[in-house]
This record gives sequence, C-alpha cells and structure tokens, in this order.
Amino acid sequence: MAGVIQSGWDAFKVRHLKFTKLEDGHISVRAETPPGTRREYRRTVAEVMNSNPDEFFGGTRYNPKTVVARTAGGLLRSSISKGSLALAGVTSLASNLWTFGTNPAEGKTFWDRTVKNREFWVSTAVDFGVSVAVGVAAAAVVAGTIAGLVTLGITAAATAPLWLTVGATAGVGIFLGSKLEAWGIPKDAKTAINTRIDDLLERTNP
Amino acid sequence: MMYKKPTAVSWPIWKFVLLVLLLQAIFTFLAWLDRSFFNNALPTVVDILAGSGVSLFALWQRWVWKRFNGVRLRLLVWIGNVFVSFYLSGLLLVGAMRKWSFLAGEPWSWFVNGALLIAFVGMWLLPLFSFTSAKRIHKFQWKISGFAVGLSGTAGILGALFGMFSSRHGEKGAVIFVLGILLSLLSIGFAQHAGYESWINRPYAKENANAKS
Repeated sequence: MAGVIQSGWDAFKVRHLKFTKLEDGHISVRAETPPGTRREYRRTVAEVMNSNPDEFFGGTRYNPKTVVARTAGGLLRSSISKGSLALAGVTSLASNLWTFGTNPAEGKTFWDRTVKNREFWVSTAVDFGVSVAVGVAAAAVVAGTIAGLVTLGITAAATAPLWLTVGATAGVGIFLGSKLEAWGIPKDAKTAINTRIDDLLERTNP
Repeated sequence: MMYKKPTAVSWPIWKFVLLVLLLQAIFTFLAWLDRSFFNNALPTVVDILAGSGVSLFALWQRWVWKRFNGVRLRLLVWIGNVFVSFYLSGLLLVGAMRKWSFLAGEPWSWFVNGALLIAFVGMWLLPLFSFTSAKRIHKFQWKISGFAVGLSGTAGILGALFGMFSSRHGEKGAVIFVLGILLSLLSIGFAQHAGYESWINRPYAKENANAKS
C-alpha cells in the first residue's frame, strides 16, 4: 500500500508534464505549470526522475525516437532514485512488521518479535535488496530491449507512447518478483545469512 | 523515419549477430518465464520459437537493406516492420489471454479472450476505417504518458514488490489478475500504436497525401 501511495505521489508531482503528438509526427514536451513555479517544478522532475531535466524536458518538440530512447535510459537511472529506494524500504519494513509482529512464535511482545529480533532485520534487508535488484533488472531488460529494437530499426518500438514502456517495466518486475519468490530465493538468502551470523557468533562467543 | 537506414544494418557481422542473440535470449527468457509461471511442461523449443520474431526481422532488415533500394526497399522494410509490430503486440496478447484463461476458466475465458481479440484486431485495423479516431486515440496515448513518466522510476520496484509479496502470502491469483489487466492494456495500446504507425508510414502514403493536396 505504501508503495502505491509513493508511486501515486511521484506521478502526481510531475503531472504538469504534457506530451502532445504533433501533426508532423514530432512530440511536443511542455510543462503546464502555474506562473512562477517553473523552476521549482523542474527541480521536482529532476528529483523524481533522478536525472537532469534539461535532458528532455527542455520545452520543445522532439523526434519520438529521441523521447523513447531517453526515457529508456532514464528508466534505469530513476530505478535507483531516492523515491524508489524509499518505496522498497518502507514496503519491505511494513510487510515484515506484519509477518513477524503477528507471529507469536517469534516472541512475547510485538517489540520482541520485531525490533529486538535479528531475523526480522535480516528478512527486511533481504526483501529490500531483492526488490531493488529486481526493479533495476526489470528496468534494464526493458531499456536494453528498446535500445536493441531501435538499433534494428523497429519503428513501432522506437516511437511507442511512454506509458507502454513504463507498463512493460512494471510487468517484467511482477514476473521476476513472483518467480524469485516461487523459486524460494529470498527465503534461501535469509536462511543462509542467519546461519552465517549464528556461526560467527558461535565462533566469537564459544 | 522508417526508411532511414538502421544503425545495426551497417555493423560488422559479429556485432550484428551478438545483438540478435541478445534480443533472442531476452525474448526467449520472457516466454520461458511466462510458461514456467503456469508450470506447463512445454518444450524449450517453443520458447525459442516464441522469441524468434525479432531475430527473423533482424535478418530480414540486413538482407533487404543490402540487396534492394528505391521503391522495393521501402515496401520490404514496411512489410518487415508490420510483421515485427504484429509479432510484438501478439506476444503481449497471448500473454494476456493465458492469464484470463487461467483465471476465468471455460466458458467465460472464451468471452473475455474473444472480446480481447476483437479489440486487438479492431485497433490494428482502425486507421483503415476511421483514421480520425485512430489519430485521436494515438494522441490520447501520448497525453497519458505525462502521468506515466512520474511512475517510471518506481514501476520496476513496484512490480517486484507486488510480485514478491503477493506470491509470499499465497495470492498467486492476484498476481495473475494484475498481469492479465496489464498485458491486456499493453497489447491493445501497442496494437493501436503499431496499426496507426504502420498506416501513416505505408509506402506511397506521403506521395498520395501530397498529390491530393
């Protein structure tokens, strides 16, 4: 839920960005912001996109191929932005607080089950790491595919509206995330880390 | 733009083959991912074939750009582009249909998939019957892209988190449902875009337009 709110908020913050398909086939990119707020808005876009806004929001018209290529490149950069890392952190924390906090086998009180429980922190850290890695991998797969298709001269891929690119990234993320979970990779990683920590503790305090 | 020589066509053969193999690997991996999602024991050769559309197009591009020129070249490049666009949108459509077949079961899946197929074909053919509507829908697709840009950074991570935690809590149905909706929208959206682009880039389109005006 936190993730949805964060994503929705990011999209809301950059909502003034307007892409218009022109008669000559070019794409006009402009920011319809209230008077006097343009500079602040550009900073917000840069923050959300983790990039230099002048790169493609210079307020002029572009070849669709340029817009798509820059968005594909931007996908990768923005997948490790502050907003997306915060999203992964908050969601992993909330999910683990629920899983560990409601499990009586983990301890007497909520505090014992979560904050004082090492396994809770290992689980949260692994979930955070895996989700960030999968998010970056999904962005890399989509960005790499688009770059490859454009290089081969596939017009439809080179000029596709941006929502298709973003939707494809989300789809690949869902596929990869659910498959990793089905293969038990996060679970195995948590077990391996906990076993390693136990071994180290045993060695230092025999 | 369609008739501008693609970068990869001028590349040395080893570099070109490397790119084709990379794209083949990505598409085969995605096909395999979708197949293994349902634990179907389909042979790997099907995944390889499913991922071969782009490779075929790549070979086609290299062949026609080296062998032909003028009107013939334009026509053959256009045919190749229509094929590969249809292949890419078709992959998305097949993915969506599989999700609905899994969720709805017979006979409901026939209705849902039938409607999806009609919408898909309709979007491809729309410019033929109503160019103005196709143009309007295409403009709308670009209009909503402003909102999508805000989601570009979080899309992959959001998808990963949803996929991971839904599967972990036993909500596989929710994952398939969301993927079904997403793939349906993507296949219809891409079909509309590809149909429109194919129509406006068809050989002689610009000459015809100039002659009329």
